Amino acid sequence: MMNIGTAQIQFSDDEMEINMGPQHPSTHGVLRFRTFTDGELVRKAIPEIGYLHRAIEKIGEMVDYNGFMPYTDRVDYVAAMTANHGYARTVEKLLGTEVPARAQYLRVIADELCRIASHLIAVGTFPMDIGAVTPFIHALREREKVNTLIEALCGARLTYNYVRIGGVAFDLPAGYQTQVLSFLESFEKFIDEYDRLISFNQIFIGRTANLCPISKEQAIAYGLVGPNLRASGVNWDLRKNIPYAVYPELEFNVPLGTGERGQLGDCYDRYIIRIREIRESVKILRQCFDKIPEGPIMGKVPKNIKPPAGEAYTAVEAARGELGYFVVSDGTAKAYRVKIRTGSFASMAIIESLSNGILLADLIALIASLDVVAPEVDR
Amino acid sequence: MSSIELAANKIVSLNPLFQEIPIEFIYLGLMLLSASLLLGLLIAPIAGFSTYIERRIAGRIQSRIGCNRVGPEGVLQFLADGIKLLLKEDNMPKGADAPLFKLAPFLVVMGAFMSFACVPFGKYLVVANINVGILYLISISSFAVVGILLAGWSSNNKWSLLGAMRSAAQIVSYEIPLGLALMVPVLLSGSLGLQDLNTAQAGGMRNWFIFAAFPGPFIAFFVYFISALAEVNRTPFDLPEAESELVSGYNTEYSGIRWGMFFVAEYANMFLVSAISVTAFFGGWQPSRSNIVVSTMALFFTFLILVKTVDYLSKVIPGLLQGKKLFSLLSNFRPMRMNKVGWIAILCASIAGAGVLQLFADFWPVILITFIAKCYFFMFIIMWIRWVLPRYRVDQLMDLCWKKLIPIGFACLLWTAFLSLFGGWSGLF
Amino acid sequence: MNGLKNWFKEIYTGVISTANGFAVTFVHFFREPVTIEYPEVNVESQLPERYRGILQVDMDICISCRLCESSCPISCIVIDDIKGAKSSVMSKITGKPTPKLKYPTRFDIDIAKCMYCGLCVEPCPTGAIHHTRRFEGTVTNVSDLTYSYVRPSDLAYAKDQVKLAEVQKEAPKEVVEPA
Repeated sequence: MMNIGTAQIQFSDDEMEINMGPQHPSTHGVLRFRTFTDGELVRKAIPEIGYLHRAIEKIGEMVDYNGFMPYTDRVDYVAAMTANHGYARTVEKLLGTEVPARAQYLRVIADELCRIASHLIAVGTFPMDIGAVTPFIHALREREKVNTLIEALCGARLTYNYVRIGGVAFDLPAGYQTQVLSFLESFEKFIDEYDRLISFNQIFIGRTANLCPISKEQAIAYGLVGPNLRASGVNWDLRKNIPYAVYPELEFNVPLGTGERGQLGDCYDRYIIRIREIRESVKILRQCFDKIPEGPIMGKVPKNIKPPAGEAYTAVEAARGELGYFVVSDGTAKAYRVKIRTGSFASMAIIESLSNGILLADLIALIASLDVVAPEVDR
Repeated sequence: MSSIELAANKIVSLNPLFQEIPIEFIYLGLMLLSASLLLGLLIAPIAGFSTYIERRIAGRIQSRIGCNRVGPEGVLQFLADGIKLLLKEDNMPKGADAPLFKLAPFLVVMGAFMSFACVPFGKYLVVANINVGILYLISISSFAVVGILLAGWSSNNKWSLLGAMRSAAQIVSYEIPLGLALMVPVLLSGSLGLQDLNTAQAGGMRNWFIFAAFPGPFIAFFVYFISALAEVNRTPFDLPEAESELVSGYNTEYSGIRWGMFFVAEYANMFLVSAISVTAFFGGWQPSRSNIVVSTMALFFTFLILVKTVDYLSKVIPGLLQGKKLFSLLSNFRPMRMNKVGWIAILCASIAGAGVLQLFADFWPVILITFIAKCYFFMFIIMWIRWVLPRYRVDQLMDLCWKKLIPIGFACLLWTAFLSLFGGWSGLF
Repeated sequence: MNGLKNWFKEIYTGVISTANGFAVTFVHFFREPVTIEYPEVNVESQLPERYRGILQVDMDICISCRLCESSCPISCIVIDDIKGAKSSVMSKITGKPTPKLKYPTRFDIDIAKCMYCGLCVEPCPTGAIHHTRRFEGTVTNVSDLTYSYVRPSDLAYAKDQVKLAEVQKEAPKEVVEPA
């Protein structure tokens, strides 16, 4: 196998600039890359962002705290619950409210369902960019089932607006536990079948192993988070290292990349980590349903939220890594500043330095393996 | 005497006036007529219909229905696509080389369709019974390379050019294992002509070349199949056309029916690959026990479509008689879903029909239909592979060809030659 | 020797992974497709009851408290009201009678702007504003997407209540004599 990712190539002057424009055949959203290539090998791929900027952070200064919650859905519409959760935790930190235990469990259940949904998109679009379309459709079929479960819980399939400051909006509907548990049964069989279809396929491994390995030091230097960081071998997961909600009471593993088919931190590692994280989420969901207590779903929060002046930063482990909210309050009903820190932003940044000396088809594979979603990059 | 000569003699004997014309012109006329009939009535509809089959197969593999709205169970979809493509705007990129741009699709289609002239569909059903058929086939398939290169060059688009060059490299490299693998049946039958390949496999399944000199032709079949997939640019070798990660390779600047020609040529090529596999390794049109299975398959789908057509007409015609517009009727009802009883009934009917067809096994329409059904089995495999495997990168593709398929092809050829020379154990049966 | 072993291994893994892929996809031929053939299938009846579809306002029990208007983050609800005589409506949420002093004369929701977040439904004390399960709201003119929920009967009722309030103001107050 040619070690293309680390080749030292001298380029002549007849390189051309190709624009991988915002209209993209793949589904990572509106991203743009200015690639300098001589037709075969890429010399540099400069990302251009901002095509999906919706000024969400500015809107945070114009609506009140409760009203901003639907906007946090749009920060990462592929896995919206974690975005809701992060914002709620930050404002609760400012207010100093206690969230009842049942609400915490409900939040974790919603989070993990969302993590499964988001990882299904990630592991689905990656083979599609490599050329196999069938795994994508199968993954989306399962995601539809997760969407239907969440729809039964909160009424919407994509932009949930489920978490409230101080708790959650709805309690579990009747018969929900049996629905989710039967889904998890069939889902585990699906993941095994999916592995058999594509994860151990020789062509797939040949295309992705040894491609653009990211070393531990490089990952930390560029600020990667989430599965990208763990695929490079760094054992950092906010659910274990800075635990929040009910994660201290749950038992689960954090999959780490080991370079099993190639080098440490290559594209295949990033892919197989996500498959393993899906299995861990299934475990977590089962434990949540065993342990969830009875009780109120909403803490004591005033109707018009006016936190005392101050600032707070909390982060949750979203599907793409650390999703952090920094809220500055000046004592009024509207925030003074909301800053959102997402994991895809750093992933976009590292693409430029990794793109030297790879083929164009590999550039696509690299972007897909880093699981960059445009709404997180641009907000 | 080939069938053309027989027919020419018949025509000459009909009317003494015709004896004035040199017999070569009558041969030419008959060949043109039969080639047009073949291509227009058989191959072009098959190529179009295969696009529909592909979409249905893709749908079923992906847990969805596939296209089932235009016509009963969607069978008229390819006509709708063709009409749509014909009505599109004919635009050309600004700096494009117009004559070459317009010529390229024709060359690709020629490369695909011309090869059918030598493929025998029955004992007398061959347009040109040349005795160097395999050689002709391999050389005609290189027409496609010229067409693709012209398409890439004349599009005035760097991406198209690169895609075209890559495709040309791929096709040219994979012709070597293709030829090597096809030499194995040639060795076993002793002739390059395709009709001779067929007659050498007469007498049932035990005489098929794939079971002879085991495992030489068996492995050679797989070498041929994989090389032929690469020749027709199908996944997992569709790097040139589905660099859909970025652009569509040499296809990019083509729209409307020009693109449609590339598309139809691809499916015609697929059918050609299946036809040659069947001819060279699986007995060709010779009737055998396998015809029961193949006829069952063919009749199954025929009856299925008949049932759906009846259902379809029963919904469309009353509406038409009431005066509703055809457009609104055509897709405004839920197509009938079959339940288990229906499936089993159709299966039994098709098995019975296949048994009945075996009685007429030497009747030439039956031979033609079963041959096409056999080819469709391999088309099904080709389409299936597309939806299962991801795409090869260009260096892995070349690695596969030069480092794996060519040595294996040589090995099969040597083994087969060795066994043929010394007689002895020559087959599985 | 290692190279030769690798060569055979590569061929072997190639064949095995292709066969695995074939096996998985072959099973799919015999499974039911999951396509929902909309619009012949009635999707609306399969939606859960919490589904956040197009909003509906029950004007009979709306007490014009304006909580929905103020909680909407996009300000797509516009309410005008007038003060009238006190009456009572039955709240759907608490089941108890709720006093109604103000009568809405204009209750417009721009459902083109609405993001179906449900923040207006939560604070409503009587349950007047609620989500339906309807999601098919396509129109050809975007101005048709501003729904006015106040009916002519509500306007007439509001005017009656205003007159009733004036009558009550001018009527002499009943003095309750201690017995």
